[in-house]
Amino acid sequence: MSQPLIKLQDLSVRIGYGERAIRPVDGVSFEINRGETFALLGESGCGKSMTALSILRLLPQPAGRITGGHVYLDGEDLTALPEIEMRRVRGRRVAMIFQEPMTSLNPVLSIGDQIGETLRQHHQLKGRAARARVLELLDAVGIPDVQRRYGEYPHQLSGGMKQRVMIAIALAGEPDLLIADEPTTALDVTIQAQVLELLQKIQQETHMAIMLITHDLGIVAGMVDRVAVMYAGQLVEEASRNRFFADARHPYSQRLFESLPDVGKREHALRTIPGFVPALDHEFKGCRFAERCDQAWDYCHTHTPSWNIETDHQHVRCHLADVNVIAPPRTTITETAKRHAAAGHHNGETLLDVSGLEVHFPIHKGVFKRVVGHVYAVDGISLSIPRGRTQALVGESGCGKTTAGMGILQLLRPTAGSVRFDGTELTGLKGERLRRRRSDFQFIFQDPYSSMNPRMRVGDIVEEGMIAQRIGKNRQARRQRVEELFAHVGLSPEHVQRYPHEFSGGQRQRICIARALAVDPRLVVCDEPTSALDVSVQAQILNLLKQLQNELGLSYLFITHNLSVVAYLADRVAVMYLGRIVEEGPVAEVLERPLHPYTRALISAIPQVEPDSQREIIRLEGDMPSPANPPSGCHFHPRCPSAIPECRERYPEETARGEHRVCCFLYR
Amino acid sequence: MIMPVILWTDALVFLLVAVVLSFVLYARSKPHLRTPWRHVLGSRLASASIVILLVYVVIGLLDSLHYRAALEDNGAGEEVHYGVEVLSVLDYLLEPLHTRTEKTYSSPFATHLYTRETIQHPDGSQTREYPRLIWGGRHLADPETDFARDIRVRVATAGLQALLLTGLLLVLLGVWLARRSRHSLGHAIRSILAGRTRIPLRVILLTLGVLALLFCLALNLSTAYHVFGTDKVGQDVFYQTLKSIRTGLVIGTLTTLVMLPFAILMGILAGYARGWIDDLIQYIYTTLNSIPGVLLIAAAILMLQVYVSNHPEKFETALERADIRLLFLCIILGITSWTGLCRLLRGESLKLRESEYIKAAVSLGVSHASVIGKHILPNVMHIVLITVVLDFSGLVLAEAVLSYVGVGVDPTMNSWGNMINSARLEMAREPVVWWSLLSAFLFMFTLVLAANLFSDAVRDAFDPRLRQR
Repeated sequence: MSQPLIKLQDLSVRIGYGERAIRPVDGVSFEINRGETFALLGESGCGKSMTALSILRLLPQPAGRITGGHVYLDGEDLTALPEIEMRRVRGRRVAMIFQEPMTSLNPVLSIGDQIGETLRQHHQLKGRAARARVLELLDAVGIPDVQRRYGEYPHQLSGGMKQRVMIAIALAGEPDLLIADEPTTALDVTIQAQVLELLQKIQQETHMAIMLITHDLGIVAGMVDRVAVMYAGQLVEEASRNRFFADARHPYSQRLFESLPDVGKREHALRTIPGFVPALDHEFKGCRFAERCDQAWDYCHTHTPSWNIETDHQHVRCHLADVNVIAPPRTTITETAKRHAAAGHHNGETLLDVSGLEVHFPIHKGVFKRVVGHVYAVDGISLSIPRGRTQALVGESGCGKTTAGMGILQLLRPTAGSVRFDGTELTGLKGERLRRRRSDFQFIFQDPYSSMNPRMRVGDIVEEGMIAQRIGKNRQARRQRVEELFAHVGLSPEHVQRYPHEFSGGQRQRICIARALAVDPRLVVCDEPTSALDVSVQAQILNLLKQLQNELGLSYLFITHNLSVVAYLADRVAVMYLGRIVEEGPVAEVLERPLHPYTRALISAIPQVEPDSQREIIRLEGDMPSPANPPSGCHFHPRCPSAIPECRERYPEETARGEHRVCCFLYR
Repeated sequence: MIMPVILWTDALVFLLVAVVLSFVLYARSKPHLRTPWRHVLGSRLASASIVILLVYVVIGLLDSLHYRAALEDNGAGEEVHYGVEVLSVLDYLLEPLHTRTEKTYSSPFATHLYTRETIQHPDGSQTREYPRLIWGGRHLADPETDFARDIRVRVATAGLQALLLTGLLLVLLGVWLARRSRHSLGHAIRSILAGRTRIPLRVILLTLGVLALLFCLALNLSTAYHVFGTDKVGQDVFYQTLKSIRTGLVIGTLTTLVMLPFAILMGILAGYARGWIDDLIQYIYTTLNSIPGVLLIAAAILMLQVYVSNHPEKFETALERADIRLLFLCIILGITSWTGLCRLLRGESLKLRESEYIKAAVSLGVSHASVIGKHILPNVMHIVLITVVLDFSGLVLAEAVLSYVGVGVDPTMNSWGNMINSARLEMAREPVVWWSLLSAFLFMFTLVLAANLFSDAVRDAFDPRLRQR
């Protein structure tokens, strides 16, 4: 067998010094062959990115350093190379693309210059030859109108375009290995599909190897050859894709699969992994996953598992896979997942009724701030949510779904339309009267890190709303309620005295939920509450939300881009495109028999966990247009594969098919 | 009998002390404030500068306790009359320096005047010579032969005293540390000397040791000599420099006290309310910023001068007149310098009002006042603190410049600016009188350097972008 392209041997990395040094990579070994796609899978904080950075020796300086092991590129030990030789490797033989395309490009250089820089560095190309090559590369990554784009600056490009430029820069050095660190996490699903397809196409043409770092099982299923699962600085499982998806052996891998939400799990609570990834600043004793593993027994806590080889080149770091270790008979092997208690709150009475809601932002220009146009962020949406039900609002970033949520809750003033909450018109309410009313509807934000004041104790944060709404007679009564709420959302009541930074992402989101619940709301608008969280933690939060709905009869407006979460949680779903709802209906109807071409494209673009599913990705051309200048007629027609001339002229009316509403000329 | 006199600036200075003390108590209970301060105290340079700053502050505070002494009783039952001169506790402590005035200039450690005088001898002959000083080196029988030995003895004594004092301080620090860490005294002292303590006590001790040496030297030498010479009217320059400390500190701190309410209120309001309020506040500070500061200050000070000379009945003593001018200078400096901080706070509040936790508070129905007080103010406090500390040294220097130009503090008031101003003529003299300038420079330099080092450490500790993870 030929030599692997890159081989990591027992690589260890430390950041910081002394006792509390962090060990993000602790004895990692794997190989990647030429032309192979290799995925490094894991939750955040497991050391995936650090592994990639240490291959290129780009660890954060001065604290980070490689403390052991070797990285062989074509047999050459990269850890032993002097810095000046490393520069020859970076970009030329191993290139890297990063997660955040928005900040990876230099805003003051044109994209042509930025790609040309790599060419000059590695191929000594200059002048006309360089320009020609840049245009070729831009063309290769699928950027239209390359002549014009050459001189453009990063801010003139959309997120997907920027990521393409990043890929072009990486390809400029004609590398043997491309490291892609969560290349599509910051992008929308339709754009993600474009970028992943592009990577696959390029790989077929150039026969380079790709090391893909991701937390998304769907992406892994779609495009890789081999998978390694990383947990707490170590590989816990390595297998070929088919083997991994057919028979994941490590309990952690199994739990990752089980915590993914989908339609089939609707009636049950999701299996979760309790707790969170341990801090990596100490020596481990025993198995690192033992604390969170439901199959662990005493032996796991005291003995470090070895790297067991299974059939078919599958490696598992678990005592259960070790033939020399005799596991005790498992008493509760697979306890049937908890069924959600069916709630009796579903009486169908409408709680929130939104009709024709518009939120337009004026664009000011000139000395006198004249209004020269509007951003049509939300342009006439109508929804109604019954008590105790969940309405999902789905769409890509920039389609106005968050603005719609804020407009409904009067956090942004709607420019037109009506919002009736339990019979009261909210759009006219002002000042103190609106403030009193606010206890009825609450908002849960996307980012649990920025939605709490870092200077306040979490107990005070939860109590704040109660003070404002005059809930609870005195401080003592409020305190007691805060502690009850903490227990209710699954936190220890002793935590009230702590500050937000002492909590993990999932715990913070629980506190945010407690804060919203403190004022006894009837409607909660959840704005992507799980998108900043890891899969296993997402499952915990989704379970909590569902449980609270059943207990308290809450209604949810669930804003998200994640259709599998919708499938799991929502009763009805509305799909939004450029400020308008294009399709609305019961979840099962919309997801299984989508009518609108946009919905169909959106659903097809979601990476599926079943690797063999032969699905056709409907490719959408280009990006979503700007809401300041929406296309004439149907907003979707420039990207629509089945557009007819009429689409260009006027916006289609809503057509109802039973419960299912759609705005498209195809269904008149 | 004494009659306490509370000048305007005294009252404000003690108000400020109260504010600082209550802030310290508040900060102790808030970890987001306590941790950075620990960081500041942990830095060696910063803790040395804190010690130096504290010495200045103590001198300034002693000089802020004013009183008027009763005149000699000239009969029983009569009403007690008080002297016109307002003295401070510092004056009392420095009594010998204060009262021992010479005839005119004398250089540091001189025993004779700096200028020749015609002296009439008893036999009627006249000679021009340097006469002996009245106080400086008075105890020496023959300055020519005794001077060097006397200085040596005094320096040696001072050295010994300083050593004793430092030893005493070491023991005191040791006892304090031993109590806190529950170790034996010996262990505590050893860990101080080895530099193993979390707060760099060894550096603090060293700084204190140097200060103790300087103090003992001053104690031994200044009672017998004018260590920094005398000025034109024979006043001890060392005394003047010490008295100037209060002026510098008052300008540096009271100005901030005046400026803060403006800057915080307007800045946060502009950033939070946006719309026309923002436009108005921006308009005000842009306008204010485009008027040259010196012009405003000069106008205000001249107006005040006219007012004071028209209403002499309102100001009983010369010091009160000088004091009202100092206060006014602080106010006007404050009015011209709040714009920078205001602008920073506006920007930060603009950013914060969009943050999700403020949106969350609004969606909970929390009132605007409460949002500002609970969410915005604590999150901009670090900016306020950094600005205040950074501005301090600038203001001390500004006083010197303004007094030099003639629109600073009252000419009768002791201040470094006034000393430098008078040194302008002295430097042009032949032979040059250099000691006024030098001593003002030395004291001001030490204060500003310590303040700058301290503010650097504060900024490093509080600025989230500079904070080490």
